[in-house]
Amino acid sequence: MLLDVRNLTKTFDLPGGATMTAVRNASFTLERGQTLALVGESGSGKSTLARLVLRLHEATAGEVIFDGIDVLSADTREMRQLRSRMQIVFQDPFSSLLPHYSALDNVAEPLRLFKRGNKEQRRERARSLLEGVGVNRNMVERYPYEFSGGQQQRIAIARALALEPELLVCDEPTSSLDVSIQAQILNLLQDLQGQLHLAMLFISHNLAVVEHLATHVAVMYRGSIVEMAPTDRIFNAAQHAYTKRLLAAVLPARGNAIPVMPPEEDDVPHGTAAPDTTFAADDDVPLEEIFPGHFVAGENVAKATGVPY
Amino acid sequence: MAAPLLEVENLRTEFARGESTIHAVDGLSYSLEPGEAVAIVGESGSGKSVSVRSLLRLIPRHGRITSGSARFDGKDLLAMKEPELRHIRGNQIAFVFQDAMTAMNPTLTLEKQLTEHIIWHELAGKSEARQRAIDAMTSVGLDQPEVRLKQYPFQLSGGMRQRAMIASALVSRPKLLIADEPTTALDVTLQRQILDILKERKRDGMSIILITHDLGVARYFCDRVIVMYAGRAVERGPMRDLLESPGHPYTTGLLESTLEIGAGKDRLQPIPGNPPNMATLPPGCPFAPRCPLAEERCRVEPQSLIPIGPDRDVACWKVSEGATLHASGRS
Repeated sequence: MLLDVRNLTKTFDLPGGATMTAVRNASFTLERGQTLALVGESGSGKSTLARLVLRLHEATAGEVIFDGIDVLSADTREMRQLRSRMQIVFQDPFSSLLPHYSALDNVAEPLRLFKRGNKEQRRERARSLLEGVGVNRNMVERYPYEFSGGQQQRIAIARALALEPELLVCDEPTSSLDVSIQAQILNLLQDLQGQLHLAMLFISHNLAVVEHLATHVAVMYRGSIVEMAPTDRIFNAAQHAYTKRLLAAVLPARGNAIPVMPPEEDDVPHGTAAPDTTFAADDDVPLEEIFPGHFVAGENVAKATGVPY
Repeated sequence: MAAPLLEVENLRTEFARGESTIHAVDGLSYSLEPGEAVAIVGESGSGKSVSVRSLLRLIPRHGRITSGSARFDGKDLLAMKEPELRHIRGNQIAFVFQDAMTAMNPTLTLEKQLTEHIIWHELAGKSEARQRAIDAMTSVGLDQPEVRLKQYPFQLSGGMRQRAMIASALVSRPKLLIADEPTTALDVTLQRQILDILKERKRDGMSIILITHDLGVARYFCDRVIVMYAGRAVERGPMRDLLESPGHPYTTGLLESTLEIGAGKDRLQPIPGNPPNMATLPPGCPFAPRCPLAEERCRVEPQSLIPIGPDRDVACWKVSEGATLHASGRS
């Protein structure tokens, strides 16, 4: 097992002394070659969870075990080594690239920071990485602004792969791209994963993308994982009311009739993480395994099966 | 049939960029009936946003509308004097933008943002305007409207801001709503709710132009669709018909690039290459460099929209040749 996340929790302090639990008690595991998709609405904690794993945020409680190493208690030197093994691709490629570095220098930068090879070797490696993601050799000296959004994202992916990471976190990597380009990038990620046997943590709100790419899906709702299962179980045998609502909200361009979206069960506002006072204590329900590998937040098993949709 | 509410003919908008001229909208025509929704679909830079902003002459200074007409309720919006147009903007024609945070004035309360224009348009006095704002907010599902009227945009979540902006557009009871990617920044569940709110208004007779890159959203919401590429309409037709049997290779490519649930894990067939550089468009069909069917003629000679069926037309040499073959085969 490459990644073992146990009971990860992150609480932020809000002004006025209130607290907000962005991620509560999240647990999951990830093998090499697997892709776990984190889905859920904005503010559900999916990006925060991924950042906790990479220790870009410090967790309040819980454990992250990466290849047997306890990430959260690693010291600076150990952490630096770990960073080379886990990388991230962000939603907005332009703001994640160094604007005053050429594409080539952007990709060579992690190699320089980790003192891999000499300058010429690093540039050669960066060139071949860029070629691998479909950036032409004669364009590599250009600056990020000279590339289209799709090309920028290819450069960001090449940079993330420069140190040959074992875990790749992708935070909405195609959300800002045009559909035709999105398809190109998804194919690229799929190919790279096959070649490099990467473990991927893939954050997306596009369920069709998730179904296409992920081996497993974790559905997050207000900071908690409420359902987690192999991809086909989520799409064919979803149990949690929120998962069903999410699936029914998808608008297909072709084919079958559009499903009716079940109403919300409560009126907690969308799009923002709410302070802890908005939640009842029993929101924190443990996951139950209702089928091998298929976990559902306990209280909602009964709730979900009781509801006709 | 009733006269169309909006009739756009041969709209052209250009931007000067250094030495060259960008033809952002290059001869666009369509019409819209009362209570009808049309989707303008395309990728970034295809000219869909500029085309609707041109209708209300809301384009940046270095842009110029060089030809065309847009008859709204019989009057040409493009020929009208500015004061007259000002009486239509935010009144009979309202706009909803993608990003409510930048579209709203951060220093004004919602009350101001939702009532200022209707008071200015003399549609209502202050207290009636307030009541209409409250009604509009309720209709878009914003709770506690009286409280929210005192709030500023930053105090609302993204979804609530988007709803507030839609409320602000609906409060004047426009005949035409232009919605530019109104739900792109939102979660799917919220997107669905907002589309349902707009659908209800459509049922009440409001016409809508929806700009989107999401074919699923377009299908859910619109009666007809215009596919734009490089500033031109490359295909037009009734929504279902066009999605079930796309004519233009670009439309086909868009559909094949669009992932659907249940489509499985087969490799996607993306459109190769990148959207075109508008400053250096090829002389022929703008899609030719990425088109799997393109041949010599496509690269040198542009094709205009040619009818291929009832209410359907396509700007493609290959398709119109095929259509002609069919026609001659039948006769």
